[in-house]
This record gives sequence, structure tokens and C-alpha cells, in this order.
Amino acid sequence: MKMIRMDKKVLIVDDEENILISLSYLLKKEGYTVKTASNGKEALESFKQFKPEIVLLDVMMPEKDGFSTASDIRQIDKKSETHIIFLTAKGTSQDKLQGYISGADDYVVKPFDNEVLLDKIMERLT
Amino acid sequence: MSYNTILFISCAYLLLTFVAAFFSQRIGFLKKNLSDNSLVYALSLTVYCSAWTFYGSVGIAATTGLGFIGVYLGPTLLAPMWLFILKKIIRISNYLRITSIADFISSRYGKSAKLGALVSIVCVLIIIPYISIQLKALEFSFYLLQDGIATDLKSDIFYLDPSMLFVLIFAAFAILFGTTNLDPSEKHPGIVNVIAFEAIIKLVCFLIGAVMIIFYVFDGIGDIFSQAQQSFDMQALSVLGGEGYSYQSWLLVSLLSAMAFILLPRQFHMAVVENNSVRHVKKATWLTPLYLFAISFLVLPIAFAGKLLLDSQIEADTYLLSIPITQNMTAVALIVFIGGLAATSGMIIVSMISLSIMISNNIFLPLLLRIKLQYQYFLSDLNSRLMQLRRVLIVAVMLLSYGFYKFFSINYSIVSIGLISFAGIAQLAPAVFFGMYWKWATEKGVLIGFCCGILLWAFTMPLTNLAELGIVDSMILTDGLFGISFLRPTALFGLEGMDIVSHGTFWSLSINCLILVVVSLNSKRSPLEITQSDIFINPEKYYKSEKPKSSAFERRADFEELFSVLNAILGKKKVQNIMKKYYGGFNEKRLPLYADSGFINIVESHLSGTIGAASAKILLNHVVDQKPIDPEELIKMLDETYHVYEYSQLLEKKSKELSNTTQELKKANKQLKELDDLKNMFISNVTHELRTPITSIRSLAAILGKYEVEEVEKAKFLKIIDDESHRVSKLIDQVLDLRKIEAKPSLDISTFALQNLIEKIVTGFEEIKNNRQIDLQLQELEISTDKEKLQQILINVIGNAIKFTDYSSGEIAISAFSLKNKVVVKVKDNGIGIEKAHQKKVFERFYQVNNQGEGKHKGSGLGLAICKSYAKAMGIQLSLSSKVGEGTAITLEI
Repeated sequence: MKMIRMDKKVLIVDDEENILISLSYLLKKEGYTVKTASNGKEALESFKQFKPEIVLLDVMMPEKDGFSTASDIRQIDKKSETHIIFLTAKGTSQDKLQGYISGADDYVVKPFDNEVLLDKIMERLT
Repeated sequence: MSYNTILFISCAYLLLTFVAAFFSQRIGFLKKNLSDNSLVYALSLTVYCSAWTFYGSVGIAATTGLGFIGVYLGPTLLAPMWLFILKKIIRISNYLRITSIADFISSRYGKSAKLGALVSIVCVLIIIPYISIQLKALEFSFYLLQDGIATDLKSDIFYLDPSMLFVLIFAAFAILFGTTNLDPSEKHPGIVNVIAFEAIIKLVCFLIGAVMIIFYVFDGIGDIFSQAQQSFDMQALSVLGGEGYSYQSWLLVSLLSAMAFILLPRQFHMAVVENNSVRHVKKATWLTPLYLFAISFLVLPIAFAGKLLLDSQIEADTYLLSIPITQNMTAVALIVFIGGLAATSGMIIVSMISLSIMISNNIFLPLLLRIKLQYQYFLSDLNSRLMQLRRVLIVAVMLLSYGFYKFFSINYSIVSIGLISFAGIAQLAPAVFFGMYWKWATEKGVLIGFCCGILLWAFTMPLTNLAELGIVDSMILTDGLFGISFLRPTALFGLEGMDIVSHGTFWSLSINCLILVVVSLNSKRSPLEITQSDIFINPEKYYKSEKPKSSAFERRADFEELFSVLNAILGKKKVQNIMKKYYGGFNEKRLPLYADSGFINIVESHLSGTIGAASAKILLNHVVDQKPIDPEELIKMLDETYHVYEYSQLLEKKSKELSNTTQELKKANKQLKELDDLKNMFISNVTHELRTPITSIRSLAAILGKYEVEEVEKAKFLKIIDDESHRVSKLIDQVLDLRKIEAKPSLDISTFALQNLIEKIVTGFEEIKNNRQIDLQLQELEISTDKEKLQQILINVIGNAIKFTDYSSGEIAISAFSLKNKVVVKVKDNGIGIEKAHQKKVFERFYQVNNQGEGKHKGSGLGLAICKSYAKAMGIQLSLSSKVGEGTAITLEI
């Protein structure tokens, strides 16, 4: 199992350092290749080089928020090879709708169960 | 100066006023009506200041000292009341299209033709002598200027007589500008403008003359007074109630003048008939008295100057002119003469116009209309016939005044006749004022009261004068009428020891009022009197409603007959306009069979504006059928309409209040909504702030449970869990704090060293400040306040300064010093700054700048709000100044 996942790449974008620490540890343990970014701009940079299959994207970030980052990613990734999953502390249905409009594949509300997040990622990859 | 020069200059001046009247009227056509202006209105009221003011005041001042002031003091004291009385008269008159004082009184008492005619006749009898003395003053000043000394006035060959020439010029003026349109309620802007213009001329001329006498001939007022003190008993003349002029006569003169200012035909004409808007009255209440003061305050020095300089043979009335002449100041004398001409011409022209309106509308027309034959003749071309009539009347009045002057007035001083005229005009006061404020006053009461008043006036004043002159047997003065000493004209019913004017005024006015009241209470009002008195007493009920009032009377008229009357007087065009306005879409072929009461009422008011209320009534009686109405029923109806009026006033007030309340509610609602939005934002923020640390805690805890984590990592994770737990509990504390401070925070006062506290706080920030520079400049200060709360405020403020500056280049300066018994702490940073629009709001609860999406600077939006309420409780003033990109400074004044 682990071997299969080694070539799956995940980009985690969040401005909270502690969340980056915990998520990257979790996903590395599960066998993914992980990169982190702490804002939208950094995220776009590393997206171009890293070409991840999965992007975990926070919504509330300084300078460039998650929604517009997602739209930009979709501009680069025209074939929709990347799956974007929003991670957010905002949980209203209007927020969800905006998330899907800007090109999200899924939506996870903080705080989340680690296992649920891992399942959602798996779901996207198969 | 030669006869011809003076004549030439006078004519030049009068020509100038002609031109002024003509052009100001023209301007009136092009632009806004020049006469519709409160300044022009206020000045036009000073037509009150005739030759009496210009020459006569000095005369009285020379003999009775301050006694002359009564004539100006009366109107001045009454001026504030114009706001009520004059405004009411104007409103009534506008509504009813009143054309003169006689029309006003006749209209009030059931459009009484008798009363209108009586008032008109009395006015003519009183005003003609009054005009005649103006002519005398004019001619006298003319000869004085010509010969240099006062000569006895003589009857010249009449066409060389200057007063005759002036009479003709004035008459021409009045005809040209006063009879241009038939409807006097349509105003004469040319006349109004000229009177305002002459008001300025006469004031300026008077002041030039006075100033030249006081400062050129003498060395100022002080010089005149000190010289006067040495040469005669000045004291008696410069106090009120002094010799020759008792308080009582002084008071009566004031009272008479106050009434005359409104009731004299020329005053009523300028103040009411020519008025364009009640709003103009307000300025007149202070400007006109100011004018009266300006033209009278130098009178006393001139009178003294005249007494010092001139022979006692010279009439004191002429001092203003005689002094410059004897001092060889010809130019000044000429200026004074022109001023006198302005004063005289204004008074005479307006008097003539108002008298001609009165005589034609209230004497001639009612008489002619009563005779069927004349009625038919008159109707054929009423409009131009009325014009001709008025022109003839103007000339006739002028000639009568001239004749009166030549035969009688030569021997009178200006003032004696002036005051007698005032007392005569004052007989109108009971009819006017009872009419406006006492609804029970009846035509009969006024008729009898007024007749008695006028007879008593004639008996006690003009008759006395005639007897003194020897025209009437002077026995009457000593023995009384029919030899009954009880009926002596100067001591009627045994009342002795009063001067002639006070005595006569007292008896005539009090008997006039008494009889008016007694007879009114014992007579019934006719239906028409009831409806008219209702208009006079409650005019606001009528003039405010835009719809034509439905009449209490049921009237109808055949259209054809009605038109024959209307077209003759109003002209076809105007009648069609009125029709269109009233019947709206009707065309002439589809008119109703009969004209109804409403239409007849409107038509009657238009007719009244042209030929007076009484004449209009008589005229319409020929063509209008009227159903009789029971007076009792009528009174009930009017009372009801008044209640309806009161009720609608109340409703209006209520609805105004209601709309105010609605406004307030809307405002409150908006505030509530704003607060609600803020609350929602707050909840969303707090939720976000709670979820973020819990995410890390939960995730890490799960990791620690699931995997075998290396020791180093484990320690790191546990530290994060610990930190984030703190973050959560801190947030909870803040929310709780907010709840606490909604009630008044309790203070725990202690004395401590401020710099220690600040240093301690800064040390606390050591860990998170990174490379930011924190610069401290602290004086050693002991302060007494709540240490705990001050600390919290400072932590918040300094924390914000750190939060909003760059972690590598941030500079924060904290200073503490004392300034005037206050301690000031200043925290300044070079961070991102706050936009103007946000500066006030940052102290509001839940408010966050950049709170949407770009949440790097996270927080609950509570910090500064808490600071603010703490500061308020502790008496600390918290202020902020900031510029975007340059940084923010927060100042605490403790």
C-alpha cells in the first residue's frame, strides 16, 4: 500500500504553521510525498514545479485567499488532473458553494477527523 | 436763488423719480418684481415720514423738547406686534382682495355700503387738511429758499404759484402710476419702488442738513448743548414730561401714532394693499423703527441750534432750512429742500391714490349701481369709466387740498393739523380691532360708535381750532354749546386741565368703543356679517386651504347674465381664465345650467379686488339668486367648520409626530441591523479562531495515538497542543471579559510605578517580537489607578503595534511622560496604519479592519473595544492617529 502512495504528491496550503506541521507528518506517515506552502502565492509557485495530485487548501489566508488560489490552479491545470480539497474553519453552506464554484472537488470543515481526511484523499485518487 | 432755478431743480428731481418709477416697473416685468422685497417693503412704510417729520419735528422740539418723540415711539413700540396684527390684516386682505381701509371695515361688517361710504367720507375730510399742510410746508420752504427770509405766504396768480405746479405734477404722477391697472390688489410696483427710493433720499438729505448744522456751524452736539445751557432753560426741553408737554399727552401722542401708522389711508395702502408677502413684515418690524430713529435722533440739537442762532420771530418748523440759508450754505439748503420735497411728494401721491380708490369704490360705485339706469350705462364700459373716474377724483382731491390750503391752512402749523388728523383716523381703530378679535361686533354698533366718535372728535378738536381762529363764534369755548358749560369743547362733561388733543382723544375714543360694544351686544348680526366676521377672526381657516371655500350661502346665477357683468369689469380674458381654473375641463358649450355658489364666490372676490366688497355685492345682487338662511344655523355651521379646522390642525400635528417617530424607529432599526451584522461577523470570527487551534490539537492528538512518534517529534507536538490550548482559553477569557464589561467594571485602585509596568509588559512580548525594535522612553512616574486593567489595555495596544508591523523592520516607540497634571503614554509604530474610514470604528466591538478573507491579523475584534470600555471606566482618554503605510500612534491620557 505504502509503496503505491509514494508517487502520489500532496501540496498542503495553510497559514497556520501548526496545522502544516501536523498534516505533513500525518500524510508522510501514510506514504505520500508532501510539500507545504503558507500562502496562496507560495502555493502557486510550488504547484507549477511539484505538480501534485492533491491540493489541501485553506480558505482564510492573508494576501490571497483559498478561493482565488483554487481558481488560479484551475487556470494552470486545464485538464483537471489535480484534486483540490478545501480545509476551512468556515462551514456555512454559502462558503461550501463558493468553494465548489471556484473549482474544489471536496470540502472538509476544521476541526476534522484525520481518518476522514485520509479517506477523502484516497477517494479522489482511485 | 431765483424762482426759476428752484423750480427747475424741483422738476429735475421729480422727473428723476418719474424715470425711477418707470424703469423699476419695467425691470419688474423682465425679472423678479423689485417691489416684492422685504427691504423695499420696510422702506415703503416710511411714507409715514412726511413734511411733518422733515420740518415739523424740529418745530415741536423747539417748543416742547422731547415731546416730538411720541410720534416715532408709538410705531416703534407697536412694531413687534405687527407680526401678529399687521400679518393678520394682510392675510385677511389678501384673501378678500381688500382695496382700502374703508373697504376693510365695510367688508368686515357684512360688506356694508353705508359703513364704507361713511369711512371714506371721513377719511377724505381728515386727509385733505393734512395734504394741505404738506403743500404749505412745501411752498413755505420754496419761498424761504428763494428770498432767504420767511415771507408771508400770499395768494399769487395761481399758475405761477409753486404749490399749484407741484399739485399738478403730483396728480400726474398719481394718475400715471396709480391708475395703470384697475385692480388695485394687483399692486403698483412703480409707486412702491419710488416711495422706497424717496425714503432713502429724505433720510440722506435730512442727515446731510443736520450734520452740516451740528458740525460745520457748531462744534458738534456737545457744543450746542453747552451753549444752549447758558442761553435758555434747556433742562425743561430735554426731559420727558417737561414743561409744556405732560406725560399724559406724550403717552396719548404715542398711542395715536401707533394706530395711525397702520390706519392712515396711505399707511394701510403701503402696508397692506401693496404688500406682496406676509414674510416681508418681519424685516419691517426692526428696519422701519430703525429708520424712524435715524431720522429723529438729531432733531433736538437742531432745535437748540435754531433757538441759539435765529430770531425768535422765525417759525421753528423752518429751522432745518433757515439755518443753512442764514449761514450762506446754499447747497445744503437746496439739499434740505429736496429732502422736504421727497417727503411731501411721497405722502401726497400715496394719499391721493388711496383716497381715489376709496371714493370711487365706496362712495360713487355703490350709489351709481343702486340706480338701475346708471347701472346699465356704467356696465357698458365699466373698466375705462372707472379709470376716468379715478383720474378725475385724483385731480379733484388735489384741487380741494390746494383750495383748503389757500383758504384755511395758511395760519396753521404743520403739527397741530397733523395731530388732529391722527386723532380723527384713530376713530377707525375700534371698528378695525374689535372687528378682528371680537366676533360679536355688529355693523350697527360700529356705525353708531364711529359716528359718535367722529362727532366728538370734530367738536373737541377742529371746532376748537376754528373757534380760536375766530371762524366760529369763540363764545362756545368759554360758555359751551347752547350756553351749557358742561358742553365746552375743551372741557367736555367737566373734564378740565387737559390739553386739546389729549382731551379730545380721550372722549372720542372711549365713547366710540363704549357705544360699539353696547350697541353690538344689543343687535343681531346678519348672515353675511356672520360669515365675514368668521373670515376676519379666523383668517387662517380660509387662506390656508387651496380649494375654494364652499359657501355657507346657497347662490346661483344664470351664466349669461353673470358674464355680462363680469366681462364688463374683469375683461373677457380674465373671466375665461377663472372659468378654466374652476370648471377644469369644461368647455363653454358644456357648462352647467347655472353658476354655483363656489364659482360665484370666486368671481365675487375678483370683483371685490376691482371695485370693493360693497360694490361687488350690490352688483352681483342684480344677477344672483340667493336662498335665505337662518342665522342660528349659520353660526352652528361656522363653529363646526372651525372645529373641523382645529381637528385637521391636530391631525397634521399628529401625523408630523408620527413621521418623526417612524424616522427614529428606522434609525434605531438600522443601528440594530448594523449591530446584528457585527454580531454575526463576531460569531464567525470567534468560531474561526476557536476552530483553528482545535484543528491542530485534534489532529496531533490523533497522530500521537495512532503512530509511534519519535521522542523529539512527540515533544514538539505536545508543545503545540499546549500552546494551542492556551490560545483557546485566552479567547474564551476575552469573550467572557466582554460580557463582564457590559456591566460597569469595578475598579481596584493602587499606586505603582508606571515605567515598571511597561517594562514588564515589553519583556512579556520578548518572545514574539522577532527583529522588531522596541524603543522605550519612560519618565519615572507614580500613578494611582487600576493596575490590572491598565496592564490589559497596554498589552492590547502594544500587542497590536507588534502585530501590525513587519517582523524584521518594525519599530515601536513607547514613551511615558507627564503633561499638565496628566500622565501620557504614547505607543507609536511604523506599521501598516489604519485608513481614515476605519479609525473611528476600530474601538467598536467586534470591528476588524480587513476582516474578510485576508485574515493574517487575526483576533476576535474585541481587544480595542475592551480597552475602550476599561479606559472609560478609569477616566483614561484613548485617542488614535494614523496614516496608511506610515504607522499608527495611540495615546493614553491618564
